[in-house]
Amino acid sequence: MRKFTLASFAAVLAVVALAISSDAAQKSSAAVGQTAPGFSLQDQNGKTVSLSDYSGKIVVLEWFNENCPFVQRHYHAGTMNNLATKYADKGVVWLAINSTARSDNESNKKAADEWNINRPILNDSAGKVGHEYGATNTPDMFIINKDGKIAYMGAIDNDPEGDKTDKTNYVDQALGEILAGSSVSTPQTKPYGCGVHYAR
Amino acid sequence: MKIMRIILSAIFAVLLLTPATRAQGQQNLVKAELLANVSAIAPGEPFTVAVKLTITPGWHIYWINPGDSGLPTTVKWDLPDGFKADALQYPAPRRIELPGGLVNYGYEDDAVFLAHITPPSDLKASDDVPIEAKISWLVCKENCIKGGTTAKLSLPAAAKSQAANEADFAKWKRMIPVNADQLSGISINVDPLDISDGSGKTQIKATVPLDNCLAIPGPSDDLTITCGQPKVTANGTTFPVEAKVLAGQKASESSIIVVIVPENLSGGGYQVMIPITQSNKQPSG
Repeated sequence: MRKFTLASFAAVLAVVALAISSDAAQKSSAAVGQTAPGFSLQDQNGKTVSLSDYSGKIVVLEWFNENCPFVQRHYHAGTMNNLATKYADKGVVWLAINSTARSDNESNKKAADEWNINRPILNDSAGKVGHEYGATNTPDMFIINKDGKIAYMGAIDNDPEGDKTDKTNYVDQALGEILAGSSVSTPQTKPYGCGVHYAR
Repeated sequence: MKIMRIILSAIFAVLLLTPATRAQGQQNLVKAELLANVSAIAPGEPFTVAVKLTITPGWHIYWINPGDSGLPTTVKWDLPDGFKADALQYPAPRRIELPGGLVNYGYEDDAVFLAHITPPSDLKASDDVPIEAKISWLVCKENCIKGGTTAKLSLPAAAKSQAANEADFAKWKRMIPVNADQLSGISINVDPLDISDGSGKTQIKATVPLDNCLAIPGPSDDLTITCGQPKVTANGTTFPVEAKVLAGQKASESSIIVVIVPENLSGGGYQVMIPITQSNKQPSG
């Protein structure tokens, strides 16, 4: 009788351990066509910004870390700034989210000032929103359509090495299609970049 | 006075660890060396070149599938006319876990990549045949640094070649996964993965118990591939593999690679090719 109980106890423990150890990324509910998870985070000025503030608008989320060479390359080339400006006139909201463990409002403000980022950089240093979206890279891009559903998720473009002369910017392409009322031709790609430096 | 000296030494030692030292260290996070398994190249006779990378402890570089982030380590050969290099052979990767559940596949401390090179059959005798490898990597610890170098090797060309570095090359070859269809004594099989419905599952089956091995998926542009926990019994081992097509994509690859490697990297493990099948109906959703 004792042997049986011990064995089943060990089996239960093993199952629980397996469940706990499964990828944090699997907790994410983010998928193309699904409602984007809501959030409320502070921007670099300490102001609270919520996804619900932009209900009915097209919202771009950009996972950000100013210490990542992929992000640095894009900011030196003006990729994000130029796109955000191009589509701001058409009512598209662009939010950067920083899930880096040791980042804070101050470091986000410093990055915004240095790179002329005239839009919110949201403080997700606890990593909660990153995990909800399953963000794995910086940069990692999500486009949320007016109906609150994810219309694109993945890489900013098809040029991880930064050496393509003829590249496709998936976010530019998708935004153009959404605004024209067409379906998004490439709704999902694999993001590239540094890993998001989660606290846990 | 002795105490003063001790305190001063301590301060001096701490100063040595300042950003200046760290910055200098960052210049040489990865060192590269080329070696050949011959001391002379003979006309038409293939030889092997090793690209040996030594990585500063605590940092890592990446396998051909880097995992959730990173960039693969790549080698572009610059060879004299008539020379041909086969595809680069990657040693068995390590599974590197990062906080937050992210997983990378790559290398710590050192990694030796091999390539078979075939010289032309009309190769003339010479003192110096230059072989150059343009190597690129992303090396990461907490932050990532993109880097690279050109490594060079010069070998004479002669009528007859001679073996060199035999023990090292045998050791390095053992770290390259062996193709599952070239095994004897043990058999590893897998049924095709059918992704007609946008996702699919299969199992890699080995006829022997393979303890403490893990399955690592190779690269794919249109599929997210997940390898589950292996199941080991006295009669064999199964490695479950799942694939999901990225939303809106049409999977164009006809096969994927999975490598089965010992967790302690005591050897190179095995490389399994899994055929991908799908019927001609449009992907749903």
